[in-house]
Amino acid sequence: MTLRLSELSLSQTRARLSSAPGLRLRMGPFVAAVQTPLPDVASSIHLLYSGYPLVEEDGFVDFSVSIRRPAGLRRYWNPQVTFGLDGQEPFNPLPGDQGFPLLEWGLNWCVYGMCNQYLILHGAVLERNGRALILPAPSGSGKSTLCAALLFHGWRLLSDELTLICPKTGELVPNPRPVSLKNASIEVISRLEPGIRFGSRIEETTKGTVAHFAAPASALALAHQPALPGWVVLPKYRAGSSTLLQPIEKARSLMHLAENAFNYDIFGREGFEMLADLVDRSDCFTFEYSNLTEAIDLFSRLADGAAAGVAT
Amino acid sequence: MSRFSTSPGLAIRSWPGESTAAVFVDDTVSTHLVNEAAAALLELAAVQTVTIEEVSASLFAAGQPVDSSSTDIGGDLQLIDETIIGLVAAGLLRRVE
Repeated sequence: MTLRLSELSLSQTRARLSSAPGLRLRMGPFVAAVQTPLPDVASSIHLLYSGYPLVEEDGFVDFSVSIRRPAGLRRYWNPQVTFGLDGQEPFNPLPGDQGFPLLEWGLNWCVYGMCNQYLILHGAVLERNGRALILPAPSGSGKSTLCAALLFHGWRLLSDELTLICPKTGELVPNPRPVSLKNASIEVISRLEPGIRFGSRIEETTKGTVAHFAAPASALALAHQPALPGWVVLPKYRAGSSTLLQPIEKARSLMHLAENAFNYDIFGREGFEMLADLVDRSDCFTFEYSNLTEAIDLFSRLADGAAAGVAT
Repeated sequence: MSRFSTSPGLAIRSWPGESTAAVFVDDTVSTHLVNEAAAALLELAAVQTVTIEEVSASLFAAGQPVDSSSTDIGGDLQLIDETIIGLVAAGLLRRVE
């Protein structure tokens, strides 16, 4: 019987987080041991990871991470937070209220920096009818907003940030984590889905204002189930634009995927062949949008096999 | 007359009906987007050495404007690089004799 975090009270969660070996959470294919003595970070973890399975203390851990106050007087004057990995602190501290975003960014860094058993792209992945929709794009493209909108309309979340490709099968491996939204996207998605419960809204981060909401239960229930490549869509939000989905050549799509890969160089030719196989198995498009409702409708039709070349 | 072959360790992936192809170079661990004429040339040079005339004929046949009097195949590819699609790197071919 797998115990989930939701079965622990907030005080039990805080107790596990504040002492070794920490709270061990399964996040898709990875297990993270998280430690933090900070109540606000513990509350966010309790809210946003509530549906995640707990791993017993003798289980294997991929990452042992922590969020703490740095030593010294800054503990008391303009307190900061720092991210720890196996006792090391690879990043500069951030302002004290940014503990949970720092944990998320740190966990992302662990995955794309250390998990070379997968080819990893910067991009969101969703699934519908067994086929994966890959949205490779840098920050600021509207990828996360589009991903957040789609996952409430028939698409399963595999990841809003990191696309994991299995070298052996070419499948997309789920790594569902809390969904991060920034700035105006927070209000846009709040209006679109009023029932969403966000964690704390953190202002003045390096990315502006950020807020997270929990991955849907459907994503966690199928976190062990990969998806076959279906579509590669290069998204671009542009204010006032029409909703426009246009085919793009597979070779050009491959170049975009390579540009958005974290560890492509490590794989060498195998990485090239993996991306070539991925675009070979996918329908590839560019997508420009400003209206999320139209985008949701268009992607539903895409999943039903009827949207190529659609301009609404 | 000089003959050329592809650099060793070149992988080319192209798809029917598309105007571009992707090329991977093992030595430099680099990926390039090439037009279909360049892809055809590289695929030809991968299986046999080619002369500049054969290259020119190949490019002309594909409708690419190339100075056939040139003996610098790298320069021709650079011409494509800068003026046509901007994505073919010189150095994908090497002089072998």
